[in-house]
Amino acid sequence: MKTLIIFLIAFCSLAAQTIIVEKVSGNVEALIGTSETWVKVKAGQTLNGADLISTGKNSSVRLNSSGNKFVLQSNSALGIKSIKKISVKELLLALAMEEIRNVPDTKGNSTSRNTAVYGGSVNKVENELVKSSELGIKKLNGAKQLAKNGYVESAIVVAKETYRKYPETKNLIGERIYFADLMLQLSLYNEAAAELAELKQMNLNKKEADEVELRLEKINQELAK
Amino acid sequence: MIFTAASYGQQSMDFYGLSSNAYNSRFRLNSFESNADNFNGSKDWELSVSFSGVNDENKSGNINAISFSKRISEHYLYARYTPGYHQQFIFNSGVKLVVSDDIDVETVLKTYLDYQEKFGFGYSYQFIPELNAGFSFRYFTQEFEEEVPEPFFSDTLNYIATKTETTTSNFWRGDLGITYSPNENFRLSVSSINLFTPEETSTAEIAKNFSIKKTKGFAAQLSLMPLEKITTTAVYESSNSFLLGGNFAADFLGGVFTFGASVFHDKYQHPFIAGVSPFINFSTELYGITLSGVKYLNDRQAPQTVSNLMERGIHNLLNNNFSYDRLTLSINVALSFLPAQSVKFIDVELKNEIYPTLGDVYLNNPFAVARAVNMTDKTISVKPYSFIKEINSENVYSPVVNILPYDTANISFYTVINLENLKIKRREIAQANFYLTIGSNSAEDQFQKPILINDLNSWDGNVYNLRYFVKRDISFANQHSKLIIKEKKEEIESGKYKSEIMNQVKIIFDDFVKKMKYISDPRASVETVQFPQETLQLKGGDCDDLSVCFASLLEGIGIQTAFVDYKNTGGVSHVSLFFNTGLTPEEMSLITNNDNKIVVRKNLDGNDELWIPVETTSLTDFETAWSVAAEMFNREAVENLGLAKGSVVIVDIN
Repeated sequence: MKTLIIFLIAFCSLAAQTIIVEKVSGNVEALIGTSETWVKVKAGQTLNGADLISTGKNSSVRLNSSGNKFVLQSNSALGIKSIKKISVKELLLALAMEEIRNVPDTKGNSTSRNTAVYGGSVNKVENELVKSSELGIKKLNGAKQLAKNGYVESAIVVAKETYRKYPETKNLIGERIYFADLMLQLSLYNEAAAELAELKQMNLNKKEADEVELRLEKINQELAK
Repeated sequence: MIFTAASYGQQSMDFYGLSSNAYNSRFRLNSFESNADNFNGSKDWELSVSFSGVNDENKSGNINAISFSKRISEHYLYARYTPGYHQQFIFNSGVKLVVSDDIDVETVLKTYLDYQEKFGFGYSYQFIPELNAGFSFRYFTQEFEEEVPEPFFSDTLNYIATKTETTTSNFWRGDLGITYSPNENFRLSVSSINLFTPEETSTAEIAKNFSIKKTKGFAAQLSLMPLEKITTTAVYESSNSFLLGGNFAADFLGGVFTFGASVFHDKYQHPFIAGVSPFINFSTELYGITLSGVKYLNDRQAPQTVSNLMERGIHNLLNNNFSYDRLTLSINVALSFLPAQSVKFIDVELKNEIYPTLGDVYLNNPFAVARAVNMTDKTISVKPYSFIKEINSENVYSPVVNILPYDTANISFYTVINLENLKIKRREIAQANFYLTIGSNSAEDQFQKPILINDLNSWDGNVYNLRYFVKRDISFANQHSKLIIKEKKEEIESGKYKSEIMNQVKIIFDDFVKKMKYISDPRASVETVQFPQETLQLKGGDCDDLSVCFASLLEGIGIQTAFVDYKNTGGVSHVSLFFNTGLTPEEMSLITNNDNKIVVRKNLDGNDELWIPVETTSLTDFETAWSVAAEMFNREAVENLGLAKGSVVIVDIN
């Protein structure tokens, strides 16, 4: 336990920009910047903020930045830029930013746009839908490890981004309750309530429904104070 | 500016020296003649009386004319009684009767010619503030008295008595007129002369010889205001007569003082410039006093022959070959039962310069806001309008504003830019004219302020407004993109992405960048943006130009785009582009394995879609442009929280 506490404190100041891969176990890959190809990660390699690192089954990687260390466990993925401490204020800005990015602005023009696209059928190529949920699940695992290592705010940002980019992960009820709890831990009652309210609309089993209801009641009590 | 009534056709000469102008809009005048559009500031009733003194020893001053007028909304009614519009001729003819070889009897016979314009009335209607039309009818009497000899003979006395034979030939005169005045600097009136002249027919020789001539024709009057407060006017009549005049008006003792003069050439008079007509006037809201006159440049006291009268005839009772110098004093009183002015400008604040290409902006955002005061004890509804001749083809009305009694209010002015008839080629200062109306189209008050009008390529720096540059050449962009797609159909079908939109965008982008060079904006005080067609023709541009052009090429074929506005990144603003793949997040792997390269955005239906960033200044290939844009977006917008902090803004082109 002592080791863990030291480990957490040490990583609080870990910079997001440049990290050295200190040790690799098993299958560890990375997407470098905007590359389309996963490459094997080797010990001694340098990774940057825009890179995404992913571990396979029974694999792990230890990262080091100026003496600060972070171990990414198996079946996890994490953007290097996420391994940084952000404030609650920055977290709130990041959550607000998702709304900005999500809603196309219609200021000054309420007319409906022409959605016709020249060239006939577009967009979808039949039978080519790719199930990308595996990477999404890995990212949620990575986010949980961020939280456990003290990067609670960053973990919430990563989780929200993962839900948006990998919508299948929204069905992982247990994970969502976990990240809602992180919000409650930071006293972000409104944000947690919104997340739980969304969960409440889904097909939950009794246990899940009770857990959601319990948290909502707690939030109501807190807000009533 | 108030053009309150319509044209009345008349021969143009009167004794007011073409004295009306836009500046002295309260000028009160009871003339049909030089006031072809019956220019008058009357709002309700108005009474006018004029006295005239003639340089004729046989005549003394008398009432020249009395008139009443009444305005009812856009209708204007006018009636006048004109005892001074009167001319008489008396001439003698000697008659000798030969009674026998050595006896003659002589006598002198007199002939009286009496002409009068008794009364007249008119009506006009203001269709729009710029256009008036109307008609006038006047009634003329002509009475000709001839003494004829009646000889008496007897044994002791032979003499000749006289008896008088009277012939009348009265008639009406009706005319039509129209006036167009798009602004206070320009006014054009056209009116008929003797269009309708129904008359009592007389077969008497004297009536045929001496009746007022009723030659049909027209008069055209053009008034220009080359400088503020100075008006010049020219009138041409189809008889080849003309008048030239000018006047100057200035604020004076709470009213407007105006002075001026006209000279005239009359085909039927000598010398070439037959006379001069000066005037001075002082007008207020309630009254006007005018002293005016005419001085003929030839000797009017010299006797003239009867044959001269017969040959030249009389065409106009006020002004003809036999008229004398005249001095006229007119007093006009407004009998208004309405407030003289209900609403008044306090000031007008211009919110922005005008950028013509951003036309729709001024439909939703006022380009000027006026402060106005209600000068009455009732709530009034003020209908504002504005006109800038360089960008507007007509007056532009803005929403009605209600103002409480004696209260002030802000009044917003919007405008519609007519790009088809834009009258500017480069940046220039124009005059914005603002008007406030109550009920009718007549302006209660007006205000003028200079405003900067930019050229078509000028941009206000607001990325929201780049959309107007994208849309301007959308038809051209549509044709351009269609052509590329048609030529490279096979490449699209066998493209590297499992999305047709992605393959189309890649092909269009690769075609686009291989022709382009990055060219910085010229140093200038205002930012400029090229239209898509210009960028393709010039084969280059800066980030604004390239983003606008590529956005237009995509929008032209229905692919949704958005600008990404990086505000002051490293001290320099930058514009990049997004486009909508139409794919859902679940379909991400159809186009990329790297979720750093996509942005998820909700559409209007609330469904998530994948958008792709593209850096149009990366003049390499589509993949590089995508990666460069994605890296910049992730760094500036996501990691640095630029979207939340406002340093990065996504602007949809919709």
